[in-house]
Amino acid sequence: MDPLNDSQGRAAATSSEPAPASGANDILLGLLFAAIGAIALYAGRNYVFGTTQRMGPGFLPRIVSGALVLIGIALMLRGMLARGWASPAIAWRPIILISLAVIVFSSTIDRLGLFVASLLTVGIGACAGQEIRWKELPLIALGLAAFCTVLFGYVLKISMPVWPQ
Amino acid sequence: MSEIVQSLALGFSVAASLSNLWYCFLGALIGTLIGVLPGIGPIATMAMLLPLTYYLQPTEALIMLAGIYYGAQYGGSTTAVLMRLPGESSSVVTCLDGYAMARKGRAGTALATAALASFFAGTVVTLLIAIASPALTELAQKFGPAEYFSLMALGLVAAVVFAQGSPLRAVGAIFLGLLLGLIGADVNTGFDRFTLDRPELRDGIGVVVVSMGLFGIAEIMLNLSSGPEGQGERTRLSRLWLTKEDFRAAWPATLRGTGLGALLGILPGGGAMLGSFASYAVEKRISDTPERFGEGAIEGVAGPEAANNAGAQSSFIPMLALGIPGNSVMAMMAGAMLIHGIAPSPNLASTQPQLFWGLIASMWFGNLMLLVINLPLIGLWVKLLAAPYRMLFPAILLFCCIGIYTVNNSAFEVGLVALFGLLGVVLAKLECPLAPLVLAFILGPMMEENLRRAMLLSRGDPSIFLSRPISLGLLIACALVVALLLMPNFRRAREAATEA
Repeated sequence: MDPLNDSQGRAAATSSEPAPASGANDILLGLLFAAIGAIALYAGRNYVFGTTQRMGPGFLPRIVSGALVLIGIALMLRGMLARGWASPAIAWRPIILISLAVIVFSSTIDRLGLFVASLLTVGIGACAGQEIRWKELPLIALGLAAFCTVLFGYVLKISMPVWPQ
Repeated sequence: MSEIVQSLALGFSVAASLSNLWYCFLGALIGTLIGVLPGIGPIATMAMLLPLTYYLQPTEALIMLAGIYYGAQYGGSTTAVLMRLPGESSSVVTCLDGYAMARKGRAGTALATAALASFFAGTVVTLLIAIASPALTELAQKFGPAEYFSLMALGLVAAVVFAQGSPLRAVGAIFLGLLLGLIGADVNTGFDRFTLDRPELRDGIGVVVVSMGLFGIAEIMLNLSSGPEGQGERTRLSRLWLTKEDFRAAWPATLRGTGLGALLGILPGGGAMLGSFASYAVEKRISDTPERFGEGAIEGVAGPEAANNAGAQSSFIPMLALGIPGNSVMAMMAGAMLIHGIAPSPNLASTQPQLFWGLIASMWFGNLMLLVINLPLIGLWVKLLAAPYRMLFPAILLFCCIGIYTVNNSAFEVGLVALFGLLGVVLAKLECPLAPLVLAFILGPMMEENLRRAMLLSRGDPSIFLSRPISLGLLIACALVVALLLMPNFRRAREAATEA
């Protein structure tokens, strides 16, 4: 893959991977678009469509989700016409652990406060790294939690629960 | 003319007050500090630092946020040159020749070129905004719903052209963005759409949540999954100054980059990135020695850097003059304005002249600060870059979580960020461009509102979009862009330009 062939500027970060065949990517992306579009069509099936003069709340949802389904199908067709199939390599561990860390923050912050939530988030998140240093990890977690608690809770005095309620 | 001078004088008197200068400085400094960290772009930086501005006066807060934006932007260029790690998409091209220069022991020169070119572009565009704003505000008075709709449609079409990779994927990204933008209560009827009975979703999903997930969290996941070699090689610094030949080569490139960047930045859907890619392509094309590009050509740093700064700044124009945030960074600024009770609208210049002109003048100060901060502190940034990613990313992760939570004190939104992080990783792995998605998400609700209003005015007759001259002109521009996209020659040129 060309190091610049990436929309988000993570050129150097992904350049080490082999180029995936675009057929697979088109099919998978098309599937994703079509599925999301179809779900939206189903979820919005009772929204009032209205007329062109007085568009109802369902007017654009139906057009936009319908278009998404069509684009998804077009992508799938294009992918099937292309040669080769190589599923994109996805490393699941960092993805799962980072999501989990964010979800833990979201589910603990209101009740347990900033300090505990930070401790848990950093503790879980840090395990997503390629090498985990077990001696370093608690220090990083404690240090960051303490730093953020002081900065946001006491220096900036942002209104958020700091300690367990 | 005298009006412009007067307004600028007002602006400079506001921006040069001690407290505003201080917040401008602080913003640029912290923005650079965070922006220099690998994998954090301006959007993530702004979302993370947004809480710092809650307790300031509105003008101070916006000036500080603008400073953070410029700082983050410049921080991205610093890592691009030193480590071949672009902090954000607009500094991707800087990697090419900036890093090549650094490997030849000319990192200092490359960084100084970037700073000077950015400063020059910033100065020119500040003046441009001051001159163009009154005219644009007047033009905005002629804008009805049909014109707004057509303008935003043009922005979306432009976003497809300038996205990397397959246009069909970009179109899909746009429709997905539009769909996400529809979530929430319908403005006209109050009817809940796709809210899954969650009251938190009735107001729609916040731009900060979407961009933080797609860019901030997804970025961490991608960096961690790509292996240790993702961390670029570090280079040593050299002397900072440019030689006479450097100046001679960089000067015209800076001028052209400024022009291109300013023009492309005004387009909704524009912003910093387009200009930098376009400028690199232009410099390479008109150069007598195109083979030097990629091997450390100073024009390849000066042009794109001038362009990305010019674009970053001229993207303020549609927001200040028309009230349309043209990209996710501007949407963030608009969000910050709303937090302080100021609605971005064409009337801003007349209702809040202090804030409007103060913000414009502070852009120039912001660029000056970057020059003052960055040249002496480059050594410090290099040291900061030496920190291993395994120690940095937990901090980034935590700041992202706290940043999101503090926007609305909503734990639910933090959970949503995890969802958008996942979506961002999947889309990036499938090579689907994210920038058009975010733009469509931002513009979607405004487009719907204007479309419905226009159709109501015309009693359901869609020819309203063709019978009003400005709207017609914008739609013709859309059609031309689509036609261009279908031409094989243009497609090849586009691929060459977006992949540099």
